[in-house]
Parts: sequence; structure tokens; C-alpha cells
Amino acid sequence: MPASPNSNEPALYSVRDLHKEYQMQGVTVPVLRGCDLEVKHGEILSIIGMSGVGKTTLLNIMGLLDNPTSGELIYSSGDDKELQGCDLAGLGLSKKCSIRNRHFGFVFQFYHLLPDLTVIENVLLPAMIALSYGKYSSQRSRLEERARELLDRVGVLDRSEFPPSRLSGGERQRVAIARALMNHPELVFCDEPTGNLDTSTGDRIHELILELNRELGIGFILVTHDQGLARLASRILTMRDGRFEDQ
Amino acid sequence: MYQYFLSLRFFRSRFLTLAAFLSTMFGVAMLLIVQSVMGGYMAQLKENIRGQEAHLRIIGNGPLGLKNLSDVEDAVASIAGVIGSAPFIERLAVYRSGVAIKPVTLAGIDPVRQAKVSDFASYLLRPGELDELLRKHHPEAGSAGEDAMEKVDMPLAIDDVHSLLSDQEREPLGDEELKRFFDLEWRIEILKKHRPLLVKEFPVPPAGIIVGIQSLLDRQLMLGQVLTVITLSPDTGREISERFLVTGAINTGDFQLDDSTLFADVQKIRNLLNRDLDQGASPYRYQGLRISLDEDEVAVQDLAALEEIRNEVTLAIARSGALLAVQTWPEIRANLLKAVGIEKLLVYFIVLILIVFTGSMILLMLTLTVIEKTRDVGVLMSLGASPGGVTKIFLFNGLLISMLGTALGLGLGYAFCANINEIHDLIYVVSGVELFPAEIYQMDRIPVHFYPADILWCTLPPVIVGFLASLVPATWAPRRDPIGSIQYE
Repeated sequence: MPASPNSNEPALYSVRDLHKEYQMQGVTVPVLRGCDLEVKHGEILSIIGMSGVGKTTLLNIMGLLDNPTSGELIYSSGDDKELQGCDLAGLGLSKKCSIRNRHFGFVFQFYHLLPDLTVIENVLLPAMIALSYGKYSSQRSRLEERARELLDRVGVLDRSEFPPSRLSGGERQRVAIARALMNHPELVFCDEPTGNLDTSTGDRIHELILELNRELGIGFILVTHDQGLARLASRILTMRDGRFEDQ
Repeated sequence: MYQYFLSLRFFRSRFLTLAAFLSTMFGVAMLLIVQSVMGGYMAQLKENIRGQEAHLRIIGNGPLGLKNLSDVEDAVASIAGVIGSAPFIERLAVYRSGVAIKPVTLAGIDPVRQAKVSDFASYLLRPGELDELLRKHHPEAGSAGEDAMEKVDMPLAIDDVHSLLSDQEREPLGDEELKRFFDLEWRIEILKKHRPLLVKEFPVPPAGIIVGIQSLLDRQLMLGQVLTVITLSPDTGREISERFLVTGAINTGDFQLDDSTLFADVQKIRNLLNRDLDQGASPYRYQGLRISLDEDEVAVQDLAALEEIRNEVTLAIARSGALLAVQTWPEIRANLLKAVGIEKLLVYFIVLILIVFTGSMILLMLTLTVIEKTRDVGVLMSLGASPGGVTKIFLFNGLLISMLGTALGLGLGYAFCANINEIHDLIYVVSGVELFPAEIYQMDRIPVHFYPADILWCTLPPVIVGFLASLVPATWAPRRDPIGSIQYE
């Protein structure tokens, strides 16, 4: 069972009346048509739906990888006073980069580990991005220790000096999850995290997400077609035609 | 932090990076080699001119040369910074040796005074040194006779001459040694030793003459050979012919000068020129006076300082009533120096094209890297890297290639220049091709000189070109929708 969010607690992330339209050859194509959503601290939320209904677009906008056409993205970080009730959609580029780095984690279907780096270097990347050269150097051993702990936690510590190309799909996804957790995020966005894995490997990733949620209290938003994965969530939302079904 | 880390990783893991790096390295090495050799050529040329010519030269106006030599000498001697002077005569002449006729400059000098104003004493070979060189490179001479003479290996022979004269411990010739080349006793000795058959014909041998060492090495001339030199009378324009005896050899480092100059005693030349005077005509005097300056007192490389002292000399000799022209040493062969300067600049710009080419290699390499790494850039941006940070990765990558390539190129260029003559000799020994023939470049060794400004001009362009070439792909990297590439795979 996932960690139970406190129903009285204010939402960590509120999406209000979110619209997204694309211009394709002069034609406006609406993808999101007024989505509303609230995510609590430590909640696992699954978003399911047919292909092309806007699940990934919603995830990217919430993860600040894409901009909405209209709507609000209200974020209330537990440990950052500046981000109490802040509308992320209106922030500047560098602030968005900083939030992605410090508050969010991402897990993609195709893992997206950097092939030129070893496993442990991939996990350390978010910390490298967050810190200046001097700060990183002074904290290096502590950060490497944390990266090893995370690799140990996801079960691939013995692969830490390997290049990603020598890892199996399931191992790569575990490394990607460890990388997403490196900077202590409050929310991890997972886009089809088991979409490229066989059933048994996918099941082990499910268990890992559940454990991390229970032990670390990290929230997950899962976009998936995988019914097994979706059932892990404390809430399952179904999207149809650019909005949630019950809206 | 991640920018430097990833730059190094991208640098390490690509073959194209290595190609761009190597092209920068070789481009910079070539730039440095060309600049150093051209710089060395220029420095050597200046050194040769200064070594042969003294710092200033006073030329007498008019066909009969310098009037009132002693007045001019006194006037010049009183100027602060002047430490010596030597009269000279230079006449166009031809000499006949067997059937060959060769145009030369007949240079009349006072060897002792000439040695005080120039490096004349360092350029001359002692009789013992000359004998040893000729023995080494003409081993069959005197035994098998002239028919058996083989072609002398000139580059190797010149190499020996160069090593001998550039030996730091070698003392320049002393006054007595200098005088000896024109001495009667020495001339008799030379004739006896080298041309015993001519002793009867010349009980008093002709006046001594010093020739370029190359002429002796390649057997155009022989020690003890009697030459007939023909020049024109300055008064009547009629032909004057005189015989001279080859008594010594010189190597100024300027092949052409050595090959086309015969040094004789200035008094002998003066007497020769006055041999054919019409009745009542004024005798020919000296052509001019070479003046040397105290290099501790006068900055002889500084054109402004030279100009200042030239004005002083001009003023002093004007008071003595003589009408004269005063030349500084760079002016004596100003056109040549200017031509070499222009050539150096021209070659620099031509080789700079190569540097632009290396820049295009960096541009190409980084553009391909950016295309190949689009997904990685997308991942980095999803992890919080800013567009500026992504730009820095590729900018740093390009700069790393150009800076490292430049640094190693400078090292390679320096190593090549430091051994350029050995490399030249090796190519000559292996292939028989002489890449720097002395008769064309007027120098017996490839000169190299590193000017700090040249090193700067070899360093700045590749780094600037590398930076500019990196700027385009580096700023393009975050703009080509890298996040899109990870979203829609």
C-alpha cells in the first residue's frame, strides 16, 4: 500500500484549468482542455488513458518541461518558503530549471541515462547541476556516498562503475529512479516507467516505487498504460479528450 | 560544475574531437614554425648586415669618394657612443679564373680596423682551421689529382663550417692574425705550399685576397690560386686589371655576399684605382667610413636611437665641411629587410587560412556532437540544466580543443624548430633533397628566432577562431528542442 496522504493537509501541487494547444500547419490543435488536479505530499497518483489524450503533455507541463497555453500551476513546497502557493507557470526560465533540479525528479520510459557517464556519475548529475564547482568539490565524498546509498537502495550498487550500456533494461530504470531521487525531490514524474520492460521486471519497479514512497514519503505521478502499476496508486485518474473523466 | 565535467567526457569519447584537436595542433605548429623561421631569417639577415656593415656608414658623395678622411674620423670620434671607425672601398669588378668570368664586389678593407667595427674577425677562418676543413671535404686533393675530384657534399661541409664558427669558445682572430692574410711572407708561404709551380713565375706573389669559404669548398677557387680581377678606373672609366692571390677564407653566414665578394687590403685597392689617372686628375680617396657604436650606450636595434645618433654624426661631419651621406645599418639593405618583413606577414596570413580551416573542423565536430547529443541535452535540461549551462558545455568543449591543440601545437612547433637543421640534414641524407639551399636563401643554416609577439600571434588566432567556431553550435544546442527529443521517442 502507498503512504496515506493527510486529507486535511494543503495540496503540494494544484493544477487549475490547464489548457494546452499546439499550432500545426496553421491549425490549432487543443491537447489539454481544462485540467484540474491536486496532488498531496507523499501521494502516488496514476494517470491513465488512451494514447494521445494528453497524459504526457500534462506531465511535461506539471514538470515544467513544457509551457501551458493557459491555467495555473500552484506549488506549495514544504521546505521552500518562496514557493508557498507560487504559480510555477509564470516563473522565469532559470527559476523553472532550479525547481526541476531541486524539487522534481523525472523517470522516462527509455531511461535516458547519459552513455558517456558511468552509472554513479549519472546518479550524481542532478547534484552536479545544482552545485557550483567549489561546492561540489567540497561535498564530493558526501554526495558520492549518497549516490551509492541510492544505488544500493534500488539494488544496482554493484554496477556503479559500469557504463549504462552494460546494464539490462530493468537495471537502467533503477539507475534512472536513483538519479531522480538524488536531490531529495518532493515529487517524481514517471512517464511510462515500465513501458519498456517485461512484466516481471516491471513488477519489481512497481515494488521499488511503492517502497520509496512508503520509506521516503516522496510523491509520484505515474503516467502509464500498465494497469498493475496504476493500481499501486492511492488515486487513479483517467484522461479522455484532454481532461479528466470525472471533470 | 557539470559543464566542465561533461565537456571533458564529450572530448574524450569522440574520434572527430581528436581530428579537430590534431588539426588545431598541426595548424598552430605550422604557424609557429613559419613565424619562427621567417623571424629567424629576418633576425639573421639583420645580424648579418650589422655584423658585416657596422652600425653606421658614411659615404662620400662624388666620384672620388670621401674627402678629408682624417677630419671626418676626428669629428666622428668625438661623438659619445662612437667606439671605432674603419675606411672602406667597394668596387664592382669581375674576376677571371680559367675560362670562367664572375662579377664580384671588390671590397677594400683595413682588416684590423674592420674587425673593430664589425664581426669580421669572427667570420674569418684561421689557416689551420681552413686546412682541416679542406682536408676533410677534399680528401683526394693532392693525391689523386683534379681529375679524380668528386662532388663535395656541400650541406655537410657548410654544417662543419657553421659548427666551427658558432663554437662559443672560439676566439675571434687577433690583430696579427688579421694582418697576416695580406702579408708578403704569408703569400710566399701559401704559394709554396699550394702552388709550388707558380713560385718561379711570382717571386713576389700578388696581393692577398680573402674569398668565401663556399668557393673553396666547391672548388670554384683554390687556396694559392692567382686570380685576375678587372675593375674600372673611377677617374677615366678605363679597365684596370690586377692579379691577386687567394690567401684566406671567410664565412659571414650570408652565402650570396661571401660568394660575390673579394676582400683585399684597402690601400692596395686605393693604389689600384689610382693607377690609371689622367694627368692632373685628383687621386681616388676612400669610398666611406664604417662606424661602430657602443651597444651598451646606444640601443642599436632601436630605429629612433639610431636616427638620433645619425643626426649627431651628420651635424659633426657637416662642421668639418664634408658633403656626405650617413646610413644606419638597417637602411643599408632596407629593401631586403622590408621585403622579408612583408613576406613574413604574407606567409602568416596564408597559414592563418589553415587556422580558419581548423576552426571549421571544430564547428563541424561540435555541430555533429550537438546533433548526436540532443537527447542527452534534453535529459540534462529535464534534470535542471539551464540553456546557458548547456551552451557552456559545448563552448567549453570547443575552447578545450582549441586551447589544448594550441598549447601542444606550440610545443610541437618549438620542438620542430629546435631541431629544424637536424631534420633538414636527415631529409638531405635520406633523400638527397636540399630543402634550404644556401645559395638561394643566402644563409648556411635555417635560422630560427622566437619573438614573444610571434608566439602571441600564434596563440590568439586559433583560440579566438576556436571560440567563435564553438559559439554557433553551442548556442544552437539548447534551441533545437532537446526536451522534445526525450518526450516523443
